[in-house]
Amino acid sequence: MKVLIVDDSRVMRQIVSRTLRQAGFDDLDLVEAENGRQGCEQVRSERPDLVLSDWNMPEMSGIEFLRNLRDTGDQTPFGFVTSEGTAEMRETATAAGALFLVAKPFTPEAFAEVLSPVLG
Amino acid sequence: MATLVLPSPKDVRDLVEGLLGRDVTVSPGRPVVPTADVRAAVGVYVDDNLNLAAAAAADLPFCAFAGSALGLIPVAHAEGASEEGLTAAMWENFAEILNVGAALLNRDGAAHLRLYSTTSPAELPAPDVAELLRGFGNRIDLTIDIAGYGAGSLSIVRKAF
Repeated sequence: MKVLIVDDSRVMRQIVSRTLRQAGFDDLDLVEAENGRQGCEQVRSERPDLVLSDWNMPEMSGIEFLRNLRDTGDQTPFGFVTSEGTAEMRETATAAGALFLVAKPFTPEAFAEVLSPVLG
Repeated sequence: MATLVLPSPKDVRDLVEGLLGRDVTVSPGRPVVPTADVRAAVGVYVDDNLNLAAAAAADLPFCAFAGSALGLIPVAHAEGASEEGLTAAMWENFAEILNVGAALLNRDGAAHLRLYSTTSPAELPAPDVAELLRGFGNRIDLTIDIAGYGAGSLSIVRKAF
């Protein structure tokens, strides 16, 4: 299984990678992008099984990234890992087609709960 | 009038502990006000109309300790950085802490805020941000002690409209 991690912070991409392993997902092929625009390109070239994306990023935000994918017919499973955790943001994420939203800071248990249905 | 959300010390402790994966002790502290003589990192938070809405200021020790703890940089490097300035990695890591810190300012039903810009301890914040950080109003001033690293200071100030 291939997972695309999209976050403008290098250390946060490292922490997401580490937390995936701690959550028991240690056989994943991980690829990375720094913003939504790069994320769009990576989805098309890498064909990931899941996208884990930050929300607030330069160039193209996470929600713009998700809407761009869905507008072009791409249905790659997509979840947010973000500091945006209010009910309003969760509704916005769901309405755009996100499977889940994990709020930063997160735990391996939070990852396991939302990722198990997707990654098995 | 919009609700002015200020985090509690417990909110701050929970967020920093969760990010760093370390025990954190939070207690009342002195205001962090960046000047030419007192270096501090600053995060500027705006609402959805890009109005200045809040700012956070962290002294050099808190930047170094928290930025190092996030990236698993050894404490000896962080202690040296407190005197010599931050490494690029420490600063990049601390900027991410300021980014995630926006969660402390957002609540259901309140105006949505996000991190707009950061200034490292090597720079001075813009005059309007410096003025906000000098204010006596809606603010919380904390000493934050990170287990295995050390203590520093953080102030969060919310602008009243």
